[in-house]
Amino acid sequence: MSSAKPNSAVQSVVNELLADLHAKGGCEKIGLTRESFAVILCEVGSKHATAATSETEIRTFFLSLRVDELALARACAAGHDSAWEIFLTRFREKLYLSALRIAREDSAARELADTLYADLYGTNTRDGQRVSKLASYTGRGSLEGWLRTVLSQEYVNRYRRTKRLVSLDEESEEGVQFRAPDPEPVSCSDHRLAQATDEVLAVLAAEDRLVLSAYYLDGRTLAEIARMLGVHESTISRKLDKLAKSLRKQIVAALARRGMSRRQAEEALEVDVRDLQLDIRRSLAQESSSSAFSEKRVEARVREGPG
Amino acid sequence: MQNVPKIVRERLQAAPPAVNHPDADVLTAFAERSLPDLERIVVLEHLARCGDCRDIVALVLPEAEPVGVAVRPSPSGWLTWPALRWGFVAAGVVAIASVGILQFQRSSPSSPPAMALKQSGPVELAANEPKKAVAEFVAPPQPQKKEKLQSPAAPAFADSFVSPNATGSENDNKKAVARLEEPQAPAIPQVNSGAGSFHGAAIGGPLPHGPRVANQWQLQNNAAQNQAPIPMPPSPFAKQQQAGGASVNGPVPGAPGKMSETVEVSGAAPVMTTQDATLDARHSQNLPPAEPSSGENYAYAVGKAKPPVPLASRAAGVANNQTGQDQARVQAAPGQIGGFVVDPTGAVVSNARITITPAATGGSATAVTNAQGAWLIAGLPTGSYKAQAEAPGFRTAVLDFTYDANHSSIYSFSLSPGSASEMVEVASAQAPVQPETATIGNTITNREVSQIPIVGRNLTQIADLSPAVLPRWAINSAGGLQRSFDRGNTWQSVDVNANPVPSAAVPSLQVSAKTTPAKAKDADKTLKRDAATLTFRAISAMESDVWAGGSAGALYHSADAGNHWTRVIPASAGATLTGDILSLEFPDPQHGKVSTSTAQVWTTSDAGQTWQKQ
Repeated sequence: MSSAKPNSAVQSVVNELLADLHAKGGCEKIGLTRESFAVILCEVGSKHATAATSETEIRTFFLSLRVDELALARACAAGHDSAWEIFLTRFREKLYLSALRIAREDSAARELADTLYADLYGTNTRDGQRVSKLASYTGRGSLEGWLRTVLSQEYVNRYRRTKRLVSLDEESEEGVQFRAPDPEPVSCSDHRLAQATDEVLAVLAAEDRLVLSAYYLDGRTLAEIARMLGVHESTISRKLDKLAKSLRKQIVAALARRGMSRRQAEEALEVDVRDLQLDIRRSLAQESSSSAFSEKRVEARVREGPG
Repeated sequence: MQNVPKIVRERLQAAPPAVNHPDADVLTAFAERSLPDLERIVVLEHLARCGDCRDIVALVLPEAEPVGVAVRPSPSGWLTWPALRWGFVAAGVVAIASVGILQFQRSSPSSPPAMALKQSGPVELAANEPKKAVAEFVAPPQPQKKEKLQSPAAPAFADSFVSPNATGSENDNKKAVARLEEPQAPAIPQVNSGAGSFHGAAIGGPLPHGPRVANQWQLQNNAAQNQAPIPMPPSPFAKQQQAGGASVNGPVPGAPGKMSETVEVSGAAPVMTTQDATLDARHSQNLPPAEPSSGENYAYAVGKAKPPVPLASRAAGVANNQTGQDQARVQAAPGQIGGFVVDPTGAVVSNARITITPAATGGSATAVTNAQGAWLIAGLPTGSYKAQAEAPGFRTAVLDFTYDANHSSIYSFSLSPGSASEMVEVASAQAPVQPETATIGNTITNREVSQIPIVGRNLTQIADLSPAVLPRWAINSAGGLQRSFDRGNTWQSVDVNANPVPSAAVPSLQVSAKTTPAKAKDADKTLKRDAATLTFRAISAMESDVWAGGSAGALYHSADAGNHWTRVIPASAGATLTGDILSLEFPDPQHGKVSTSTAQVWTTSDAGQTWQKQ
């Protein structure tokens, strides 16, 4: 990016495609001159391109950009009124709806959307210059999708910030105020198990690990994961099943390599204390019922006796 | 689903969090699946480690995006089931329709019958046996013996051999009626130019069974026209007929000669016949026309012990074996025109007279419908015709058509009741525009009141029908006056002080006659004061005469449906109306009664000019 080569390559491609892209982006209407648009394209291109990127790739990259939305966003960032008009008519309602969908609550959604508007307009200044968040849009995805992403980021950040700030009232209402602290995670009796698992996970394909994490850590539904990856739900379901089996097998194998016998390995996986599901209530209930029964029998006998 | 071992979750969780989150741009492109593969893998790698970015991607995903592969719509729109389904429906409809048409066509040529040539008398119609040749042979001892021969495959060509002997005096013991059917020949009624007109009754009398055929050709022999033969329309069979008993008593002299004869239909029918020459050799040689090819039977009518009668004379033998309870069907063979005459309810009209007039010449053929409403006329040459159906009590129906003698034709008439000369005029009167006044009104005439069908004869209902109209009145919750010109759909508020009637114009209405000028001034003041806080309680509207009363004795009157208002202050002998007006009763514009909250009742009998306190 900093090297001269991509810049020059980008520059040449931009010069080559500028007229085309400028027309395609409808830049005239929103007040973007060809020169300023060239600067924008160069910036976007050099952000993407590395020293290894060939000119053909750069050309493909430029052609795959959403030039019209890029132009609109940058024109807004530069403060062109006509661009803002178009932006507001096209995205104001969508932005709020997206915020509502993310925040799932009206007032929070309004707040979220308004914060984003402020960012988009560029309330914070840097070096005396208004910096609009729209200037970071590069046209790789749709502008609407980008707005949603930015909203989501904002929401997640905010959620992170405020998650720990829970009022005492709420805590006492939820009855968690005097909750015992989470028990110390039981340290693995055998470090070999953790090592083996890490080893197996490390070689897992990125998509597989994404599915595992999303399903087991984030608690996403199969449908959500499927949409995230653009496949069918049943594919995810099958993949999870297969992963569970193969992981188990591979971990056992890895443990075997670490000098455990197969049986030991299986036990290490199975007989994790936390995996044991002891139904204490049931055993208690059994005890009490048997005692009650015996008492009744005694009573019955007592009654029978005189009779 | 099999659970992964707990340790796996633990280790997943414990994995070091990813740094360098991808740009919002890239995440968007990932979610929209527009990233190139290489970058996609990088992002996947990050997402596998970064819960935050997973959250973001999950949030960014559109709500109900259809999953690409699984629910991709079928590419070809026309071969999908919904499109095909309609195709099947259409095909089904077409199939049913064509079956129906075939059925109809099959049944329609199947009865040459309905056509009766009068000369052979009311003969029986073989209604459902289409190509049947009927030979009636009536022997002296069994005068009504009948013989049927079938020829299933040929369009009917009905010829009747009528022995001239059968006419008149000999009809009791000699009668020979033959019908021959020959394929593909237009039926040409040809009548032996014997003597006089043939009438069925004269020949054999009504046959005892089956309905009598009502269609009758009235054929007359016209000796004069014998001399002026008119060339036949092209006919494969040149017919020869000979006058008198010759054709019966012996073979027709077969020499193709100039044997001309004439049939006159209905007195003025186009002359139908006369052939010269081209007599079929077989026929001319009196060979038995029996060529039993393909089941075709020729029938010979033999009178007494006479040799087979050649095709010397023809007559249409029409029989209808259908009993009357069946709905008769008109089955016209090629060369025949037939049909039904029905009234608007679909009931058949018997004894309707069908007159068919050629467009070119003036002669006409007539037929009369039978009890089943059917009529049939045979023997018309190809050409343009005008058919006219008339029946007593019905209007005459006229139909122009082009007739092809090689095909059967069915024309049915639906007669509407009413005599032919009757004319029903429908006119509507429009409300006259009154340019000199802006008010809209309508006068309901006596006639309207008596003739408009309204349950209960409620006058207001009639008023509602008026094109432009008196408003409806109401008082809204705030005590304001409202009127509606569209039967209550929309309401407009009315300001009684907006258009006061100039006091000079209607001085008498302004205040009671006995009010002093001072009081009048007072009233003016009250009026102005009240304008702000006027609330109405009661309203009475009688046509355009509207009375409205409300708080503090406010009483207003409008004589023009609320366009102009006059404040009325009822006063009598120094007392004026006080209190809120609670009810108003004005059964007519002159007489009215006002009751107030102070239990006063004021009446007027002169449209509010003077008032009496009760």
